[in-house]
Amino acid sequence: MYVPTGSVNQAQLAQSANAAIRSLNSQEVAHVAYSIGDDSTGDPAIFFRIVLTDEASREDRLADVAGRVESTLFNSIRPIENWGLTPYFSFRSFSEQRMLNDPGWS
Amino acid sequence: MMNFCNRRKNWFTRTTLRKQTFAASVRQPTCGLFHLLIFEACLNWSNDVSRPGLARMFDHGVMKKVSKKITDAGKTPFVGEDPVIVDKLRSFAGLFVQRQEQRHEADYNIKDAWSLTQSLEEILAVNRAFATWREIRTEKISQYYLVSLLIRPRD
Repeated sequence: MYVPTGSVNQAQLAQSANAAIRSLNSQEVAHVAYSIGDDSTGDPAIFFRIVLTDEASREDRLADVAGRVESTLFNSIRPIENWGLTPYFSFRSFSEQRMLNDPGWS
Repeated sequence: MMNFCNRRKNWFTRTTLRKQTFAASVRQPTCGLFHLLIFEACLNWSNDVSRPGLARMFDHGVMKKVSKKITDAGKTPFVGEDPVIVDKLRSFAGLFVQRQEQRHEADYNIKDAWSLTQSLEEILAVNRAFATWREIRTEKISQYYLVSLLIRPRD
């Protein structure tokens, strides 16, 4: 089933996404930005850009934190079943984002 | 003025190199994941002389499409299968789809920077994928998945 990104109810999705983002641990997650678009194969997708706190981005914690954040967002929003969107997750540390100052992550 | 230009040039070179290094670090582990799946699928081909030929039949686009389908419970419900194994296969397929997209970004998106954390998480995610695959590689639905990677799915 192809779901054009234009047909996604943005307001409802925002409500669901914001609720999921609010449920994340603020000791670990500094900010979450997301956008809807097509992925490299032209399928509708949701791209999460997650800024972690520096503490949570440490090498010994990153896998654990990233896995937990992905699971929380995935299970709460259910992007595939509810919205027909393939989810993608990217992570940066707070210090990296401050240095790069990338508006797509703000 | 000359000093300032040189400093800017050095900064640009260092930053660009760092971005390229981080982006390059995404490609290798993801390639490993492709090789893992192709190798595992080809092991099922009893004639080992023709395995290299079979390996060349795999198409990255089809592999991604099939893996996306696996992550969608509506399209692949796996009725009657052990839900723990099904969850692990879906998780593996999801990791695979994401890594392929990130590799595509690393290869073709020269606008956006890659950070150390982004690159590190990609490597760790590939590690998680390898570990998950080890747990389910002999399961019936995993073997079904391997075979389906060769077949372009109908939408």
